[in-house]
Amino acid sequence: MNTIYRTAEKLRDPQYRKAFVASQINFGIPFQVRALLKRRGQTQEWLAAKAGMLQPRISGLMTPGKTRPNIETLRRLAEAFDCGLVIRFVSFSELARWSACFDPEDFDVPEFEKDLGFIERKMPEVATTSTPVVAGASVETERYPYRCGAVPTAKGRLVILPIPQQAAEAYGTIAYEEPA
Amino acid sequence: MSEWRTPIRCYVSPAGNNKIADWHYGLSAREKADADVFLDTMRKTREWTMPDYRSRLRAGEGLGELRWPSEKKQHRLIGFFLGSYWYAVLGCTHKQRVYTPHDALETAKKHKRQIERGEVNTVEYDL
Repeated sequence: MNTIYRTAEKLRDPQYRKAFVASQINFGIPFQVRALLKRRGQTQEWLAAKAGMLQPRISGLMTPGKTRPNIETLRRLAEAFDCGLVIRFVSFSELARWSACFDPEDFDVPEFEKDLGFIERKMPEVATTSTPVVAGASVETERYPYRCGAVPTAKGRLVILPIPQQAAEAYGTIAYEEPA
Repeated sequence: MSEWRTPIRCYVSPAGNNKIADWHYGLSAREKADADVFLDTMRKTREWTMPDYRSRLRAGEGLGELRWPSEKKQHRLIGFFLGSYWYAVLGCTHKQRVYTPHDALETAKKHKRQIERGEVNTVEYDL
């Protein structure tokens, strides 16, 4: 059975719901810290020095159930990894989706200097030859499930431009409408 | 992820009972949630290492154990690698070198031999 549907069934139990949130924190944080450290190619000692903590504390933070980090500790870790930290309330479906999609081997949050989310929004050269009416806009991927290509519209066609995946995740899809 | 990097299969007794499902069923809600989150993460992980996995149990005849804390107890899922699967043969708890149930390791060894000889079935872990 699909993991999300399996989790959805279990979440019908209020006790399980309550426990699931705690489990995501208790296991999710250590696995995220491990993954970030691995992707950075760094050691616990490096993280300890960057976060102003002792190495055994870092070791504890990377071991499920060993410690219960408070928000200030998480903020210091985010600062050490040079990335952001989001603490927010979400629906159970979003939490279940995050849990199912979290990949401990590919989980990578880039540091600021490598963050493609801030690349300058520029229309590719090809777009300047037409009239861009939807430049830098987000296109609903359900309606237009394309990374690039052209979709017929009433006025002509919507050209969806190829852009790097990470930029697409940050901006949606960049497209312009070409008159018929 | 569509495929698990380390898929887990469960021991099914000669009477047809999925013993891992039985173990999971007996956990409290909190223990279930912890086991689910931990085991799903481990299935997405290619290499299992300490502290999450002890690969060679003393006198374990090739058995290893997945290890995680829950409800102030150390939980264990004992099993072994065969081909591209990890076969879970028994769930238990562990405290100061003592397993509960106390005969967990002996039972796990028996289950392992049954799987290796093809005497019992296994099913995909889908709990």
